[in-house]
Amino acid sequence: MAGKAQKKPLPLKEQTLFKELLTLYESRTLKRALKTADQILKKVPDHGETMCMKGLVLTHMNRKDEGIELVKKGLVFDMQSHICWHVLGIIKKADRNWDEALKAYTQAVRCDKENMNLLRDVAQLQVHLGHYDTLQETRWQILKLRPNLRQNWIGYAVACHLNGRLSETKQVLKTYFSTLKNVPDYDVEHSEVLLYYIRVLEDHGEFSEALSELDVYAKERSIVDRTAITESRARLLSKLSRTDDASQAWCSLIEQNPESYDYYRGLLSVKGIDLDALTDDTLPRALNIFSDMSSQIPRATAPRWLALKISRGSSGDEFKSLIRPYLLNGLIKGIPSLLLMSRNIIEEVMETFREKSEKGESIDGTWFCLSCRPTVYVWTLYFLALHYSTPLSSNSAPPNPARSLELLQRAIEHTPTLPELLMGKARVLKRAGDPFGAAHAMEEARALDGQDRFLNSKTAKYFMRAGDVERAIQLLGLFTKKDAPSPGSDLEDMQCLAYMLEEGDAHLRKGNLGLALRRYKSVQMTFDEVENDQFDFHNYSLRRFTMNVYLNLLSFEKQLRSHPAYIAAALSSCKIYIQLHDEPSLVSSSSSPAKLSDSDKKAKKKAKKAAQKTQDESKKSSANKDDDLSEPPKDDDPDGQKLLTTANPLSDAMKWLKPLETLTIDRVDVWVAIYDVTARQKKLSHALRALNVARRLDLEHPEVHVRIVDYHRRVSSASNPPGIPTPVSALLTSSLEALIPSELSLETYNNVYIQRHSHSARAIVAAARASRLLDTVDDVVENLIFGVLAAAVQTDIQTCLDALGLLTGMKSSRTDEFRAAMAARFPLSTVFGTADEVAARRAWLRTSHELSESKESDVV
Amino acid sequence: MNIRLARAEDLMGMQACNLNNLPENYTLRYYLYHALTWPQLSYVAEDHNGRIVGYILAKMEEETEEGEEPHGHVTSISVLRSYRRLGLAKKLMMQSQEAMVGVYKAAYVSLHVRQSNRAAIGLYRDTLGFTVEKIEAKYYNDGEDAYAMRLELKP
Repeated sequence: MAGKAQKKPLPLKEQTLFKELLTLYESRTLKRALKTADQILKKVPDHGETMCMKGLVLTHMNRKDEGIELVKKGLVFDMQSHICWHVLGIIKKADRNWDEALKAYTQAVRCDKENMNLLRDVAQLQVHLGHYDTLQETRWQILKLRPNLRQNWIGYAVACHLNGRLSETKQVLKTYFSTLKNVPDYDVEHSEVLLYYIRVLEDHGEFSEALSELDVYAKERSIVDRTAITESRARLLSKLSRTDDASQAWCSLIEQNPESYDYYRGLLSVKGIDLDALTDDTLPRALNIFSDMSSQIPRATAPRWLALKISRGSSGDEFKSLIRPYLLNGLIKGIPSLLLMSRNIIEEVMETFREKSEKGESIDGTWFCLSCRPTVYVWTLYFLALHYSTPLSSNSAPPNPARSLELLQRAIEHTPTLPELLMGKARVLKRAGDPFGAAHAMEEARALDGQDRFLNSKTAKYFMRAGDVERAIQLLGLFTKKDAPSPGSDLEDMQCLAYMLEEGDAHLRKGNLGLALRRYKSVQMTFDEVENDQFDFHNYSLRRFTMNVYLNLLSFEKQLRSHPAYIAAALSSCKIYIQLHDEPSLVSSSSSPAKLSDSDKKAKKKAKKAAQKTQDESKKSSANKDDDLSEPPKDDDPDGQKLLTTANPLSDAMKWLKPLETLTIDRVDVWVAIYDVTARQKKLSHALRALNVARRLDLEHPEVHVRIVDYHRRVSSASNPPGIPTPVSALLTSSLEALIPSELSLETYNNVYIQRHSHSARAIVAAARASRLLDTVDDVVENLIFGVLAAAVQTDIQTCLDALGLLTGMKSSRTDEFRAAMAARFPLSTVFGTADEVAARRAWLRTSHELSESKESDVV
Repeated sequence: MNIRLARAEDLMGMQACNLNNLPENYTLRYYLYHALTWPQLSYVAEDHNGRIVGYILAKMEEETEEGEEPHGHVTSISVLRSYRRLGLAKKLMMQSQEAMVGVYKAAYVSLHVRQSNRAAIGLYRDTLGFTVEKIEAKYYNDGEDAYAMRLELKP
């Protein structure tokens, strides 16, 4: 700890004090540490290391800014001190500023090349940031310094692996094994390392070697995980085309776990059958195998299910003969998930069951009339009801919710205490476009089993969809921690993405844009947390020798933001930001008190109170735990006002989209969003790139069509004004050619698109929007929109809602006419009503189930 | 449903399933801790869209006295209501148990359940064969007592 040759060493007394200072800091005795630091500085005011330590101490005492300033000063005084750089590194790490932390730690190591702690910290940061080449160097250093520690070998091997050097990895591990002495007989950690070694060989394509090594280790029982052994054997034998041995291995895996699809897939592939791409030749062979497995292992459901799944496409007879016993069994047991299968044939079969049930006849030799097995009848009705509530396929009869409700009503009269029936009713009403009736029914279901959180979560979701956020949160509060400031804050702490998205969407639908953004932001923060979580596990996994799952974790984290929840929050947030850019007046109108309904105002007040409570609690707790360096996240924007009033909505939007762009997500809506933002940022070539990706994914997609027209408009107006350099404008003009041949006018292009997709309501609505971009006369656009009502057009409630939104946005005089047509087309729907009608339904929902504010929960 | 070993990419789905069904919840870090310490013990059931509809989150008990046999512990197990009656909980539990014995030589499995949670007690006692070992007073954060239940794994 003494200084380097260039600087003066501390006098003896101060040296001792400095050692004390370090100890006091480590034990977090901060007040005394501060005193000690000041003592040293009195005598030696320019001692950089003491200044840095004092600064570090201050950051733990809620004097963070002061501390950081001091650290910076101290560093200047002693840039050769590893202690100073280490302190800086600690502070940057606490802020999760990984890049800066790595720089600081790297400097620290330069000053003290053999400091193990520092080297380990550097390695951890390097792997976290994906700097695998320098990681390998660091881990090599660590190994050289302490080759007697097992972890250090493994750490170096993993570093080589991550750096893509598989043969080096193999060598390292082999050398490591040769250094081992006295490995205990049954050592799980050693077993895991061996499994890792086998995996490295496999990844390197050395299947034979991997297999022979595996067999040796298995025989001498050094590998204790039999499942892993057999799985590896099966895979390796398959890769080596040793069909018989591989089959045997897959079969023994199936015996161990008959429900794993991968095992069946493996078995079939060894026999030359690709489960995901069956041919006329392989299909019957596959069915045979499944049938064999089924009889060998009667308790297994997977072979029966897979047989059904693959025979769906084939002639109906095969499927029918398999499905009848399957369905019968499901009805007898009362399995709610039975519907998830091919329904064409099922409808026919089910209706037969229902008729026979009602007539008291036997079904395929089994007796269950109404009086002796009534539950079977009830499940049959339930099944048929759900079946009729959704269209079978795009060219079959439309859904028949009235029939569904009628069937369910009969079932409910029969068995009023079965929550599934009321849940079914809720689902039918939801699909029919009545979120209020749906929430009401779901609440009735929930009341039948107050202890079940599943019912509670579903009901809360349905209330969110009906726009009653306050009631939803009240419900959720029956299961959240009682000492949390609010149900929402507990759910956010527990990273409940579903809640954040549902509430965000609810606010978005009601135009409370700030609140919506706030909820989506929680999603963003959760994903940041998940990304940061992996940090501690870099070193932890080495200690526990669980390398296979660790590498699995790293590759998962790399793809992290491809998660549907992130994408959903991103796209919704971007929609809002784009709106804010296009209509800046929205900012004030969205947050004005007049706009919020009473219940929204209440919810807003509660959220503010809760945020304040969190602040107070965290202040309390941070005063006690002064070893907690990172401050609890302050919710300084509980109603999203800050997010809403952002100076640059488009760049906020791009922050969401950047990771999606990097991950090259295969979704049209993602690239359309990137287009929308970059186009408005006037980055036309970036926008064009995004548009082209979208086109490649789905050329005829309605949203793509609108953007093509949009792009044309933007480029035409961009190339005209002076000041644009000619080569750029020439480039832009030529890009137009690639999208639409120049002989076609945009109007014609749009009309041709409609012709091509005359049966798709989505396409028609998109064409209407494109028309608007072309400044087409309102009458014409309206006529286009009304085209969705044509009998031949395939439509759905959401698309019609979008159409209605277009009309209201245009302040069309035909809006009420459209509403009336919707009421006729979707008789059970309530979403097409006027604002007053919707408010009335909402009020009805509130009064139909009064949940008292302070209800003692009847649940645990 | 497909039943298989839990992987890193399944953990968020397990968390979502847990939040849907049970009042005892954990941050993702805790799931990571399980997966990266005992990667052989946690299993998931997934539907045909890849959604996690059931899971078992399990570990080996870390603190054992000298001479005490190693034993497994079920941190959490749950199946979505809409996928019940398929025997998933039992299948998940059995795979995990096998691994506890096979890899770690566990002598028994333990778990805790709220005294008032009739449904769960029924699952553990009647379907999975657990017995009540003792009552641990005020085990849960809100002060409720827990049944400590146990399943012997040795023949």
